Amino acid sequence: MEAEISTPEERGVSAAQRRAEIRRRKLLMNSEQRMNRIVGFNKNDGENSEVQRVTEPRFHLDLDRNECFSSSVSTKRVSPFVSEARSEGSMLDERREEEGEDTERGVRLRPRGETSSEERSRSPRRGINTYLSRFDDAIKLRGQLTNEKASQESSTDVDEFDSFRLFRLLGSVVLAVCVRIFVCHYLSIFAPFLTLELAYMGLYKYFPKVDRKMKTTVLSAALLLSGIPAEVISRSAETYRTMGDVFSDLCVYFFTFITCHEIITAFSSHST
Amino acid sequence: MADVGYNWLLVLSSVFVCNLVKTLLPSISSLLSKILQKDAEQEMEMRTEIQNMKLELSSISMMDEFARYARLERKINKMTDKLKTHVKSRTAQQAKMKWIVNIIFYILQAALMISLIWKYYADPVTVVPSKWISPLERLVAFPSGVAGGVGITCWLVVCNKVVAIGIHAFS
Repeated sequence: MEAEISTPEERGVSAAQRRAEIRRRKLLMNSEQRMNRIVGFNKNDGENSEVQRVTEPRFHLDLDRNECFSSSVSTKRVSPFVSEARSEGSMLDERREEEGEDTERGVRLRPRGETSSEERSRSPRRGINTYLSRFDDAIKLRGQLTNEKASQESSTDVDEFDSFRLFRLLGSVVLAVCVRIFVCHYLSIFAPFLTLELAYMGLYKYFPKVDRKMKTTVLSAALLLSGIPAEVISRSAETYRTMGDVFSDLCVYFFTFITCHEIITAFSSHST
Repeated sequence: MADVGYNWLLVLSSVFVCNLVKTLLPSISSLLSKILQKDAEQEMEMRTEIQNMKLELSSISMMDEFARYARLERKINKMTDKLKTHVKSRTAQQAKMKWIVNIIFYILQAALMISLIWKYYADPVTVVPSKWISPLERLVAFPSGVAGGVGITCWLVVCNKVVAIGIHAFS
């Protein structure tokens, strides 16, 4: 009895499913025609592949032509061709990965020479590709900036006092005291300081290198966006930092020297 | 001569005080806002009340005493909204206080620096033999122009840098 009841229901469901499937295919065919018009294929091309259309659904062709609309679109659809679509999608993912490798080399605009003849013939497709690659770049840059910000906020100025910096400051203090006691009567106080700085430049490589994070300032971002290579910007930032270090050393040296001098003068005046 | 002998210390101590106060500015502003805020107790009361009500809510069975449960939940929501508004206004007041304290501090610091420069414009902070600082004696003596003297600007810059390094190292 139940079988008798369920059979017409199943029939009804299957008929409904069939109708839905036909409707879906019809829609897909229309969408492909529309996409053809957008991409700029001739009708003749479509007519030549008419035989294929009977045997294969348009869905695959759509994906093939618009590879940049990522495979997520295809995988979301529940259809008997899902497995095929997924395989197509994985191929497309591989292509995207290859493109991604190119984009990971840095923020760049693809030179025209790199584009193939097929790509040149299909300008809308190339446009979409360019747009997507730029979008990827923008997303990567945003992520990078966010990470840098977070790391800067978490460890602000922690690495500022590395061992070499401390050594420099202590060396400046010791030298200033020594110069006040022994040297200053014979020559200028800046001569020993310059010698010390030269020594620091030589000793730099014997100290463990601390990987100082480059601060993302508005200036560096503007220079980067205006096309100056990151290497040049980082080098100039390094030079600027070195100059700052030398200035700090000079300040500490001069301060210690003057303080020492004042203390010695005070003691000598008291003793006399 | 004795006056000249301690000028460097005076400038150094004023720079040190300025830098120290600058480091303590957030604490000072929060302390001031705490002192000036009158309804801090009310906020605490509201917080404890909400916590008590939440405890009570967790002890009530929703299935058995739904009406009571819903009533209490509505009360908690109302109180939470009230507390949120209160906290928002307090935060705004704190930001305002911080801004005012910062402004006052920077005005005072500028006044102090200008007065120091004004006072020691012609006199050096300290004097050393000019031979010791030989190629840069004019730069070091600026604006006093005394040969071998250490000018106020140079000394201010040096003191600022050293004090900043010292405070950073100890903080």
